[in-house]
Amino acid sequence: MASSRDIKRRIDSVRGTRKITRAMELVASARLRRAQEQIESLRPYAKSMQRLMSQAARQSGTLKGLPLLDERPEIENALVLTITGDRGLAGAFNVNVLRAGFQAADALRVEGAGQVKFVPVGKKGAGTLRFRGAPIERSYEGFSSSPTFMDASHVAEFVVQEFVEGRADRVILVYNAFKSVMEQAITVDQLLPIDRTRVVDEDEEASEGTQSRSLAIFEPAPEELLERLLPTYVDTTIYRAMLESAAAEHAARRTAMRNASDNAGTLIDDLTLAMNRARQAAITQEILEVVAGADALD
Amino acid sequence: MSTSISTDRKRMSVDLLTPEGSVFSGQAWMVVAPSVSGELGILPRHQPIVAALRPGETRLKMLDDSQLVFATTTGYMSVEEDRVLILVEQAERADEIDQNRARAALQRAQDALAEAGDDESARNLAQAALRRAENRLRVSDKQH
Repeated sequence: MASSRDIKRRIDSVRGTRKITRAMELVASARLRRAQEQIESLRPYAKSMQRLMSQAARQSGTLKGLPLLDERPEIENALVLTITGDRGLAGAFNVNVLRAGFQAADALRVEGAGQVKFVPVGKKGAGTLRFRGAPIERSYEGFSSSPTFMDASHVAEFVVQEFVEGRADRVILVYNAFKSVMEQAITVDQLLPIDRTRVVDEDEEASEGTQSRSLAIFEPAPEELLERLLPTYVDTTIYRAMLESAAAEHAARRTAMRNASDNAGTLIDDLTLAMNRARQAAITQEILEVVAGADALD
Repeated sequence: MSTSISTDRKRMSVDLLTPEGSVFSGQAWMVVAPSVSGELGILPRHQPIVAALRPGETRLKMLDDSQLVFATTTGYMSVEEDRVLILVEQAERADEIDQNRARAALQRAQDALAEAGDDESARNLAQAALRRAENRLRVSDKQH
């Protein structure tokens, strides 16, 4: 049996760990709040943009000839854009994204894609992919916990370029969507070519005023405006995915750290019990020895 | 449809939105924005219009006749029933632009452009950043 001193030492070490996990939990809570605010700030812009896009699409005669809508019959090269965190200690957060990313890559290969490459956003994703020997086209890191729109447009600029110039025929986006503080949902989405129905459709809330809307003047023409809007749509989609992923990461980390703190608490209770037992046993032992010694003198 | 709007004609509600949040939301009686084909002035009861914007300055004439100036990047403007909606990547009030920071950003953009070499997407980004930085400086200079 371990001596009470050994157990005491372990208790101290677990207490130290609990302090750290508690602090991380608090930090994650604060960052989660900020990330949620960022998602809220994006909403009016995203909604208005979507509305503008569908308005332009409806008023332009045709959707043909727009490079970002170009659905190619043969998929030769494809990119999988995975959004993970820069840091670990967030439970299964990063692993889940990558697993879905590998599945998406397999699905693309089944469809006949000869070459599927990854574009990881986030240090953890890049590290794991490299370790597994997956082909990486380009990686981004350093902004996972609080991404800006410019960060997103850097990534968007690259994938749009790859797509437009034919080096990629399809781009898939894999990320953790933020459903609620307790729930994250892995989302696999086709980013490019952009789904036509998304261009034309607007969400129900925005379409309420449709009846009263008259035809607008477009400057430049609707087709040309749409061509400018589509890349902005890609920027916004990636930005939203990054923000949701950041919120989901902080939520996952908070849960993981709360569990770790709780476990540390249980462990401390168990160890304290064991320590008291060991101390009691030692005392009993000593008394026995004293009594036995006294007996021997008689 | 426009008869129901209001008896006061000299009013439009203006929203200046960026992906990172709303920069301005309120009433104005005139909006001048830099569209790709030239400056575009909007007064109340303007007919519906959707325009693409280039980097430049967006001016709002407020109800008290003061003027608010923003340095805005590429984006879009939509006018509909006296509601003006401006969507841009970045917008900053001209009198709040920090000239030193803006100059530092310009320098960074120039460095990035020099570094980009033949990486096309990096070069595009650096050029866009350069245009934004130049625009902020230009708009801010006019204020002083």
